[in-house]
Amino acid sequence: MAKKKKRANPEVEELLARPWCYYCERDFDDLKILIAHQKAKHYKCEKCGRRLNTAGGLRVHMEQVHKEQLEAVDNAIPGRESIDLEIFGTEGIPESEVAAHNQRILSAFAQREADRRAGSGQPGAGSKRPKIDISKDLDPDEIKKKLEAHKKAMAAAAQGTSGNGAVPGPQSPGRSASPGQGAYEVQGSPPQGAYPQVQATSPPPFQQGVYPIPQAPGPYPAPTYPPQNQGPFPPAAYGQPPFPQQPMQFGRGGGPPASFNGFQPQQPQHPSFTHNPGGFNPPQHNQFQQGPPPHVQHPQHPQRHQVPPVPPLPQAHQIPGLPPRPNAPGLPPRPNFNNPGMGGMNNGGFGRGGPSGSGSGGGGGWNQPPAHQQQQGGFGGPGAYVPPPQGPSQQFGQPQQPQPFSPHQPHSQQQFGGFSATMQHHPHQPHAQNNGSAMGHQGRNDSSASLTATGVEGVKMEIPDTSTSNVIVPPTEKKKDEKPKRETKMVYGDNEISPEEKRALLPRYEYHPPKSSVEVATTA
Amino acid sequence: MAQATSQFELSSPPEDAISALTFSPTSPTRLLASSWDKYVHLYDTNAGLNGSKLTALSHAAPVLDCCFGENDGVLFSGGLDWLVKQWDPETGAETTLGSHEDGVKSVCYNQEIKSLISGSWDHTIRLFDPRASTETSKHHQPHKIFSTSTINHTLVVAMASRSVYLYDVRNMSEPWQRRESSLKFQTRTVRCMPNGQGYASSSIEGRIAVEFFDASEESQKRKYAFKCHRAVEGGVDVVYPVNALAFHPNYGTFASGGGDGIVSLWDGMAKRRLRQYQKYPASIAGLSFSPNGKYLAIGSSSGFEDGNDGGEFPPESVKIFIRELAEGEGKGKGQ
Repeated sequence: MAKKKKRANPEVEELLARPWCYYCERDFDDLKILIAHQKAKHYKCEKCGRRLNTAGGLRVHMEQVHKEQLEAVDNAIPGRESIDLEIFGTEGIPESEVAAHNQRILSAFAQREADRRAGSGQPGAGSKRPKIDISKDLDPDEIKKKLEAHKKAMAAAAQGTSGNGAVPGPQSPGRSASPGQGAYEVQGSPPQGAYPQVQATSPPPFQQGVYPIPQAPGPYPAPTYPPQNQGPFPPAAYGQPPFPQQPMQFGRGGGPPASFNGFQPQQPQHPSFTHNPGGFNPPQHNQFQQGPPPHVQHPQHPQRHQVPPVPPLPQAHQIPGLPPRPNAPGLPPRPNFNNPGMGGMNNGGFGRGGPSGSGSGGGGGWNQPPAHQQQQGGFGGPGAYVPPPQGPSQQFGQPQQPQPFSPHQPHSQQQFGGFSATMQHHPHQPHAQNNGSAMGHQGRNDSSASLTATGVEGVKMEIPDTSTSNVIVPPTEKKKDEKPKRETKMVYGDNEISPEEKRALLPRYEYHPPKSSVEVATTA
Repeated sequence: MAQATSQFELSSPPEDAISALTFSPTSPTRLLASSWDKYVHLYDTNAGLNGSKLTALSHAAPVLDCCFGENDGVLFSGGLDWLVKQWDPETGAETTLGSHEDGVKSVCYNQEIKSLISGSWDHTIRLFDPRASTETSKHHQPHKIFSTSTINHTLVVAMASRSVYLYDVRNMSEPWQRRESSLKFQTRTVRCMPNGQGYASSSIEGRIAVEFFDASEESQKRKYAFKCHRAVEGGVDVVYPVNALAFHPNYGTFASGGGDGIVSLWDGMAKRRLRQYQKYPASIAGLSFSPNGKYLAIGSSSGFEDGNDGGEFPPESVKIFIRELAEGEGKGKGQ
């Protein structure tokens, strides 16, 4: 069974979940089988055949029944023979060994994926790649962190009413920045000019709109994405830290300005953008060198900027999960926007968003579009704004794609019936785009694996502390340690000359039997 | 599992790599070991705590193989000095039976015809009559002889180029069967089954083949080969040569020793591995079961077989272990 499953290309989670034997590194379908294996292979008394449950049990048995001292566990791979460990099934295995084991699985998996991709000649085949990423991003610990962060953020948001509007703004920038620099900039730049007003006036709507958005994401993601994604992302996007800070700022400066304040780190960038309304692209590029997709999108961005500028900010916040990644990888600014935790959140969201959105992988560029949609949704409140967003959305079919990412779409759909149609299209487009975007994802995902050249740095920067980074990195290093396609190396490879003959040629064994060898020998 | 303290290490092991180990066919405590230190060592494995060395015979060059004759009082050895020697451990008297024209790689004694059979890199098999101390016949082979083994009337000669010849010792003029090894790489060792049904051979490529003498089709269908003595190191499947094979005299199961320093017990009939012992410090150079099947002698020494090809073979890696088998250990399934 196990082999069958393996051949069927199981998910990483399945592989990781398989019970395995500490002593021989074999994995099993079922814990019961593992225990039976251990009793038969490792805990069996060689004298009487009795099967004990643990090494300790066997030791006591041998001492008491056979008066012998157990020294090592039988059939254990070198280094694992210790009888000091009390292992039953998968219980009792040292943490470090568990981690090492998981690493091996992950690296093997990555290797297999890579091989398969190479074999199938689909270098860009995003579907597989994204999946890997997702799985990695879905590390339970990371999810928990994100969830906590989200809860905090929600709580903070609930407390600060006026701040809400502001909060979303800051968050959104950070998030949006990651995915699509353009989007990010758009938000920042346009808002500064005209949007601030909007924000100020619309603060209430924003808050409402924004908050709902997070919720919305939940429903959307649910279908495409695993439940985890929904939960963690929105929260993450909301960035706990950002909220509290932002509200404070808002109180001071007012709705619109507040958002900027929150972005202080970004501000430097924004200013540049604002200064060069038309030239957003250049500044963005500089900042987001890492994110290749953003550059491409830039041309589009200007349009977007014009259309959605104001709304985007709030929306961006909502969307955070989607865009964040792009920002994080490529952009240094992130740190400014969000707390470290946020960064992590973004990353997580990224991975999720990417995969879920495209199925294969969401490009960094996608994120931006979502932001637009979000804007629409968020601004749904403000009817006037609605129309502009639509225009952009249509134009940026690709950008919209991000919508699929749960939060954006829900909003857009709900508020704008017409958009729903566009939304549907998006999914398709995303796929097509995926090739490009997928590349970006892969780069990020594989960055750990050192596969991609671009965006890797960014990814590392963002993900550093998260478990995902750890998981990913090892594969690169250990890739070849694992099963698939092993090279074979013969310790003794000469097929014609025997080892003895070789040895006999060594100087110290040199011997030239005298012609009268018999005589010599007899004398000896 | 538990590895009981049923193993000890012989004191005063050879000072250089071990080339062969063999228990006396009659006495369960007499162990003969030939070595690259130019000596053949005779041990009493039951004397004192760690056994004792009774005596040693010197050659002018490294000794490649050794065996017992009719009884504990007749020993044979052959080595790089091209000579085949017979000696009596009691008196120390030695006789040179004859000489090859290259190193003598293998010697074995056939009880049926009371003859010593030697195989050499000079492409010949020679038979000697120990009582007359004379060479009785010489048989040219197509390749260098790497290993020989005999049981009943059958002699198996494993040569270079994967050639394996079966002889009926009563008619050595022509090979009984000419075979090609079922292993794809150089044959390392060949050993006959105690029941005279067939033989097992091993190669430098971590593989063991079990074959049968009977040339009939149904009998030949039973032959098989399997991989062993391999390890994954750094993502590479490292394949070790299988240097030693030894059949258990009672159960018909066999042990294999590889360059990886691991000794495994196999049930050739059930095609199962029975045991795998803890790793030994260096390549396994020789294995032998005592005639009562109670002890397994394991000789380990470093060399080309475990990747140590720099010419430096640390003498401290040379060790001989005597493993006492537990009741039923080595017993095959369904026996």
